[in-house]
Amino acid sequence: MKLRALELEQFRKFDRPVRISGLSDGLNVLCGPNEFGKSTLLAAVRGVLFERHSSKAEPVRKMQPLRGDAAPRLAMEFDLGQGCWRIEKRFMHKPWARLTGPDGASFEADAAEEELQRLLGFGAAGKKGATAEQLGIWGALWVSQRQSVEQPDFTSGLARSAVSHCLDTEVGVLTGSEKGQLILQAAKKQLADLVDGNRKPKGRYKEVVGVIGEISQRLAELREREQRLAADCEDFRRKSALCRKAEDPEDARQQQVKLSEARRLREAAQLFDQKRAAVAAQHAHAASKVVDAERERDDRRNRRANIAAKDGIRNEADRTVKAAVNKAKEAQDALASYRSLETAARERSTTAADALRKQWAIRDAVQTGSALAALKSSLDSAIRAQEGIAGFVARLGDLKVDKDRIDEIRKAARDRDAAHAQLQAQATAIDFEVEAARCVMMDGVAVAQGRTSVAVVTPTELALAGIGRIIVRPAIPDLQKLRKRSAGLDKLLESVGCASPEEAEQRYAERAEAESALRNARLDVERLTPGDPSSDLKPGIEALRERVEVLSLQSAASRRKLGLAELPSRELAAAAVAAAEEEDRAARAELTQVQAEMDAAVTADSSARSELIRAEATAKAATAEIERLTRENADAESRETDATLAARLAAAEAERATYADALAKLDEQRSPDTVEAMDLRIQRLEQVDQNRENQIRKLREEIIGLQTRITQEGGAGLDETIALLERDQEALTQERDACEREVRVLTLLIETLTAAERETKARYLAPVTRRVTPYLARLFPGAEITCDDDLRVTGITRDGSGLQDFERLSDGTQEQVAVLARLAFAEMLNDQGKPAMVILDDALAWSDDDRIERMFDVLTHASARIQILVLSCREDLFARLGGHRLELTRVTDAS
Amino acid sequence: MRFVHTADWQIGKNFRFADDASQVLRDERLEAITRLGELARSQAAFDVLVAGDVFEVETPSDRTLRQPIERMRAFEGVRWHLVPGNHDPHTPSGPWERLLRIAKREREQFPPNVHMHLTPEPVPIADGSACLLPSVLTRRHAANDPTAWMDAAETPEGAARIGLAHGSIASFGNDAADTPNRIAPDRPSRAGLAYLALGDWHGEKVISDRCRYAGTPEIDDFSVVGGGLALVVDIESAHAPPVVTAHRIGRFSWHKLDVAVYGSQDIDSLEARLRGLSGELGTQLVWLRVTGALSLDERVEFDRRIRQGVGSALRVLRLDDAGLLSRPTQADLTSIDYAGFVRAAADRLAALATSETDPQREIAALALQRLFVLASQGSGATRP
Repeated sequence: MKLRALELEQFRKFDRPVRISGLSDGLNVLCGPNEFGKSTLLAAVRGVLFERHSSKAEPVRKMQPLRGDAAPRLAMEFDLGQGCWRIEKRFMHKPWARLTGPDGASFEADAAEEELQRLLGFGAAGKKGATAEQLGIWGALWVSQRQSVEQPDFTSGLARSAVSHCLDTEVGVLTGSEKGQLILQAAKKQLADLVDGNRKPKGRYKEVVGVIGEISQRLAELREREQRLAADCEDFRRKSALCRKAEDPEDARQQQVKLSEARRLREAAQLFDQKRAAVAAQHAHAASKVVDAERERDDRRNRRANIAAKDGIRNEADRTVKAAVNKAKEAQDALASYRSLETAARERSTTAADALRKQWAIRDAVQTGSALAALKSSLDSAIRAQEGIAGFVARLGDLKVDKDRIDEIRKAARDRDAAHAQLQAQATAIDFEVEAARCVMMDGVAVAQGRTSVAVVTPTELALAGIGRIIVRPAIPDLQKLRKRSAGLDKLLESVGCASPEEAEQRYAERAEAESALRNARLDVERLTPGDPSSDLKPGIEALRERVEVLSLQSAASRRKLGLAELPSRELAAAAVAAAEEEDRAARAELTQVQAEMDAAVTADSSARSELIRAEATAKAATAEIERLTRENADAESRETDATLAARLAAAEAERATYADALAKLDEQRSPDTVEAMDLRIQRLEQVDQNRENQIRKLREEIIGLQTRITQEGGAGLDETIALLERDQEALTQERDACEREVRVLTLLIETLTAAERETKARYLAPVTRRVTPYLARLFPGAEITCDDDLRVTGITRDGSGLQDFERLSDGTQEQVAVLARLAFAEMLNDQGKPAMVILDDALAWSDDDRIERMFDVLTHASARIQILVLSCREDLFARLGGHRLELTRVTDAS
Repeated sequence: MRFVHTADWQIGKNFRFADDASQVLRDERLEAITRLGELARSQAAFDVLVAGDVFEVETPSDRTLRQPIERMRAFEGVRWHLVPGNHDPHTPSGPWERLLRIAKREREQFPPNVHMHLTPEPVPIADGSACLLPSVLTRRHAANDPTAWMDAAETPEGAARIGLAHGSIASFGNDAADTPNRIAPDRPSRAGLAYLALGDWHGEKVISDRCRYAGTPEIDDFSVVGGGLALVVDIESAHAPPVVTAHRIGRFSWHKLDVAVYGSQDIDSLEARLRGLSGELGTQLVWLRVTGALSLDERVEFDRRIRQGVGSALRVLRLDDAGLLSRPTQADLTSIDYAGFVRAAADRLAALATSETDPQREIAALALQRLFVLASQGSGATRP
């Protein structure tokens, strides 16, 4: 479709008729300031096409001018197919509509409306006016102010249908989208009836699963009860059988017979036992008599043997007494002789000890004397050394050249020598070649014959014999200073009484020697009087002198005490001590020997006396025992002679043998059914009887209990309930399986449909993307778009930045892409022979200079294939767009 | 004398495979008692011998326990002789013990024409002209022949000895030595029986001229052959051979069919065959096992005509169509859609469904069938 002209009258702000005409095939631009009425023009295009002339809807009422209740009139001319069409409508008052075709055919009123709808593919407006739903593709392609950022909306039925049909045709395949959507929705609804969003069962499916669980639980309980019931029945049968057997009268009778027999046997066994006991008693009596006689016989024999034994013991004891008396006497004698020997030995020992003490005193005195002599010798030497020290001290007083003084002298001598050398260096040398002795006199001294050389430092007079005198005056500036240095040495030497440094050195050597001798003498004194801490002797001559005096007094006193005029020699004293010690040792050994022998004698005496006492006691006891036994035997024999006793024993033994035979015979006749055995049997049988009664009572109680339970549970119809529940469970399980299968079937169907749709859609959208891409490349080289099911651009893939979400693009970019999409769709619709053109009202408001230039290029490029009408308030900017400039002209009555 | 021989009433049985029919089938087993009573009266056979398994389970509910008793009470003059079977053995918790307690408690109120034989001892019947030798199972599985005692049982001279027992005959069915409740096939001759009335086998079965199974009066399983009958037995004398006539008691017929279906014609034949089953379709129970392969379109037709159509007419249609494969045709797929993603999905599901190896092939076949149905419910294929 191509818009060619538009007329407005009594339409909103245009109360006078105005007209735009001469729209070209391509790009048309109408610029005007705000309030110029551009948007009104777009509203007029919409109104004349989509609003029914007879409508009183809000959009139609709004067509009226602000002032007055006028009848808006709109007319539009457009090319479609091979010719030009004109639609003209009057609204509100006396409304009418007329559509005139290229062939002159005319449609009036509703026919005009319907034909227009058919031609341009939009829907009839409703009571509230035309809505986006009814506008079809035109709503998507014509952008009002502030809508240019939004993408073209192809979701409404007519728009979708038109675009889909184009796509279907162009792609060459049917997408079947509408029908497919219905099927998908139906399948999803069926699935949603079964499971929720998380694939969890819901509704009947959920109920079935739940009931199966409940039934399973119920069945488990019932089966457990059934098993318990079966067990109870089995128990009941078993216990009933046991009870019947226990209650069997024949069993009871046989039990009684056994008990009676046991009691009879017990009685017989008891009688036998009594008889045997009587015989046994007689046998025991006879046996006791034998034992009595034998005991009496044995007593007598034992007493006689005892008497013989005791007699032997007594004789032995008598012999022991005699021997012990002898031993005691010998011991007493020996003791007496040892006592005298001990006295003599003790005296000798005392004497030897006294002698030894005296020799020890002499030896000590000798040792003291020796020590005294040594101390005296040391004292003398020390005194001599002390005297030497006084001499050395006096000599040192004479020798004044000490270390300090000699060092001063040596330094002064070196200074003097240095001054002399300096003088010599500065001296005037006088060389003589004297031919005759004493012909030349220097300072009154004859110069030797021959060649000589003299250095002079002071004015020197040379007297040349026969010639006269020559005064030599050396020019030496420091002569006085040099002489003063020589005078210092002389002064030093004078203070120590020496004529020359050499003498001073001699004196210094002597002084060093005297100091050394003094040190040695002092060391000697110290060495000779070192003191002795062990004898409390302090060092020093005085202490030694005192000690010598004390020891001298002590030594004299010792001698007086010992009565010795002279002390013997050390060796003699030692020999005398050794002899006295030997004597003392011998005397003490002898004493010890004698005392030991005396102790042995005392012990022997004591032993003999003890033995004597014991032997005498033994003999006495044996005698008393012999007397007692003899008396007892005599008494016994007096009561019963040995012969009578022997006869009594023989008779008793015969009687015992007779009863033993009788007992043996009885034991042979003994039955195994003894009283004890029969007692046990009776007890057992009675116990059995008792047990049976208890068992019957217990079984009856248990049977009653079981019967009660069985009756209760048996009447509950367990098996039938289980069978019913099992049937229900099976049916429900089948239903659940069917639901599961249904879910799988629907899931597979939905997944397969969805996957197929997705793949088909990718192919299906290709025409749109193919047309957008070249335009897009002018803005973003290499970019591609992606669209969703509703043909909306969802994102752009640009080089290097991956897929960008459309919603995240800037407003300007979103608007530009939305415009490109409209151009692409319009182009596609045109290519498929559908009427399409694009109107942009104040679009591209957010584009920067660069982008708007590119968009202008795009619009220019697109206008080669589709008609575009651009309405803008930015005249300067859109002057750059080029295109065909439109003008709004007032229609005069004449025109 | 003349008596009715019946067995295996299985009162209280549940039918798991037939949801809404279950109660009807269950109730019909009670109706069978009424028809037996009517038969007894009409045939002047006033002793009805029930050879065990009166009850389906050992512990039925009180109502189930009383229901057959009340049915029997209604036939005054008809004497019902009952013995326990393997389903309802005489145990402390079993139905007979409970009925005994009820009889003891209610005394005169308990129907006097119901005779429970719970001890294996001869009982004179028919005014002493015959002696009933009832076997009593006290366990579900007894190791011994429950009729063995009959050999030594003493009966009055001249009285016809009629055995009544429940168990298997070793000569048919399972010959395994450990089969419980095994009855010697020559028991009539060994025990001098004029007739041995047996229960356990649900189809009527002749063991010998003096020994038969009456079968259940109302068939209860697709596997039962020759059921739904009761036997009227005439015995002239103690040694004369019995004269037996079978009478239909059962209302429902049970059929087990295996059918192969490969197209519309087969569906036509199957429908005709099912609709042509003898008797009213509401009394017919069919277990239909279908094999073969159908297109999606034919499958819809199959479901409509067989599952829904005939299935609704029959009392029970148990349909096992696991062996009926989907073979989608080009027309099916075109019917789903000419092109577009729905068609792409259909092609994909068809490939899965016809795969030999894909584990999802069955689900895929069902999904394709569903797609076919959903597509045909919609606006039809999009045409170019």
